[in-house]
Amino acid sequence: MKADFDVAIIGGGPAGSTMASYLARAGLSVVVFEGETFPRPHVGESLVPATTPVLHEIGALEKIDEAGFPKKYGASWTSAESRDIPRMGYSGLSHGWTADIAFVERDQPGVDRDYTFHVDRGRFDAILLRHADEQGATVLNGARVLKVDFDDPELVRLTVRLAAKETDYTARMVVDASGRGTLLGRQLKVKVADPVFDQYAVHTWFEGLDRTAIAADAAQADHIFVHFLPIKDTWVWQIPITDTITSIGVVTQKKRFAAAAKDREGFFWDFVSSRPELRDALGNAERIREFKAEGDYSYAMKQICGDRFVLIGDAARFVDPIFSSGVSVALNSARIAAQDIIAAHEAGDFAKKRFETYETKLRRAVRYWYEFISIYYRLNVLFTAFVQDPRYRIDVLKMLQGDVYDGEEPKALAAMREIVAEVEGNPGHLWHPYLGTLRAPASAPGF
Amino acid sequence: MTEEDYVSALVTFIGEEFLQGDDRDRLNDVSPLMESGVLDSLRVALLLTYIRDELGLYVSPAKIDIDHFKDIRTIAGMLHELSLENNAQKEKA
Ligand SMILES: Cc1cc2nc3c(=O)[nH]c(=O)nc-3n(C[C@H](O)[C@H](O)[C@H](O)COP(=O)(O)OP(=O)(O)OC[C@H]3O[C@@H](n4cnc5c(N)ncnc54)[C@H](O)[C@@H]3O)c2cc1C
Repeated sequence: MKADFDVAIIGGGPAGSTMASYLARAGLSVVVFEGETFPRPHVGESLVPATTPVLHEIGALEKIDEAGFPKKYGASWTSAESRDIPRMGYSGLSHGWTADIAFVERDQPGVDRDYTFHVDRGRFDAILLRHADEQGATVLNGARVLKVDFDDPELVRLTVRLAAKETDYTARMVVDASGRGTLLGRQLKVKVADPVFDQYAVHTWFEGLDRTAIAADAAQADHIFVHFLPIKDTWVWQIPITDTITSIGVVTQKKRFAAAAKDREGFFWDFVSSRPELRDALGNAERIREFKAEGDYSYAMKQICGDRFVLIGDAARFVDPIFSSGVSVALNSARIAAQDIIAAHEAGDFAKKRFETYETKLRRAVRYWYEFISIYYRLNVLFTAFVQDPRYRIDVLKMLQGDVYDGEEPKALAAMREIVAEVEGNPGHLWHPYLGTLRAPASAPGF
Repeated sequence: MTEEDYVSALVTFIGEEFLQGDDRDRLNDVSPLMESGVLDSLRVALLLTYIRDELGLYVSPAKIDIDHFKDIRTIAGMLHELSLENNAQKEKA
């Protein structure tokens, strides 16, 4: 029996639309089922430069350039170390401290510019999905995939709800890009909650926030800001969306949110108030979106490919947004998997072993991210110390650019790992009291 | 630089960055830095940056414990040793 399409893609977010563009440009027949009607709002607004070569390759970079999103030249971290030091008349002293990096400090293969973008995901995702359509993919909005049937060894059968009707579509293989919906991960029961992280975020948009007021240097007001809160394992993002609109989110462990026993709004203000200058700046701005919560996003999959299927983007894995890696992983996982799929199509064989390159590369990249994130939460003062240390700065920057898919393990990771072990083992170490409560098991998860 | 040079550089830096008034005047090479709270984790990080940028020495973050940083004399001794090691290595090379 002939399939309706070569490849069916579940989800039209950045992962799905990028995959669709690659495959359509290579001449495959592709369909994208997107459950929502675009544009739709989405979390994940700050990009890293590793998105640039992918956008360029699928021919979408010009459209993104033309959209006029704020340019992002780097990242800054601020901290108010206000742990009380009551002796010697210091009580309440708060010593502001910032660290920052600019992308221009390191040349990145395939990246022709020293900035990336902060994006309104409603618009960004819509541009990419329309682009996929223009490359020749069939794009269906308001089409929710309910299940995928793998019984027939020659094809996959997707049951799709479209305009209140259920219809079946067939394809030679399926790509799951359903994001945290993790359609296949749940259906195939390969989804595993992360053993360490159970993160939670509350976020919204503000109009008229004075971004320079909180930036140490006004020239950095277009950076993403990560504000450390004095509450363990907790931080705030500040992302420019337009000249006047700023996205703000608080990220913490889910159990801290539960312990606060507050609604989203109460939780948000409570936590933000631990940095008075931040609270004041936000208090003078106007909130223009509802508070939105995100949870249950720290997970992995026991399997990210198999006979006639591949998982990409958040549908394959997500842990925590601290380094703005999500959209970059979505785009790069699509890029790498697309090469395997195009080769599989040429060979007329969509068996699991066809996707081995993708599996190996993605797992390795995600392992770096995972360890980097773990170390950050375990000892974030170490992360800032490394950013400031010329021996490691460029290596850390490489990770922050998202340049993790090829080459050796970043050497800063090994050095950080050693110091964390030293600090953990030495109660007299000055950073010992600052160890976070999130502790990755020595054998980081094998998935 | 001699150990005494390191002592005076550190007294100046720590005094100016982290202390005020009487406390600054009272600071000397044997004032306890740890139990008094003059140094905390972040300030140690700032101090390391200073040592690296201004004194040209790398102290491994693995070493920053209460024994190595208990007072300015101890830190200066460690820095002096580090600088001797560096010189010895340079001569070998
Ligand atoms: C709190 C938080 C903050 C973040 N901040 C950042 C950041 O600053 N920068 C960054 O790069 N990333 C960030 N991320 C991560 C980022 O949001 C994701 O990694 C990124 O959106 C993944 O893209 P995707 O295409 O895989 O999934 P998505 O963007 O989620 O797209 C999936 C699409 O699939 C559709 N879909 C789902 N199920 C079905 C179905 N059954 N049938 C049809 N369609 C379906 C959905 O409607 C959706 O449009 C953050 C994440 C969180 C939780």
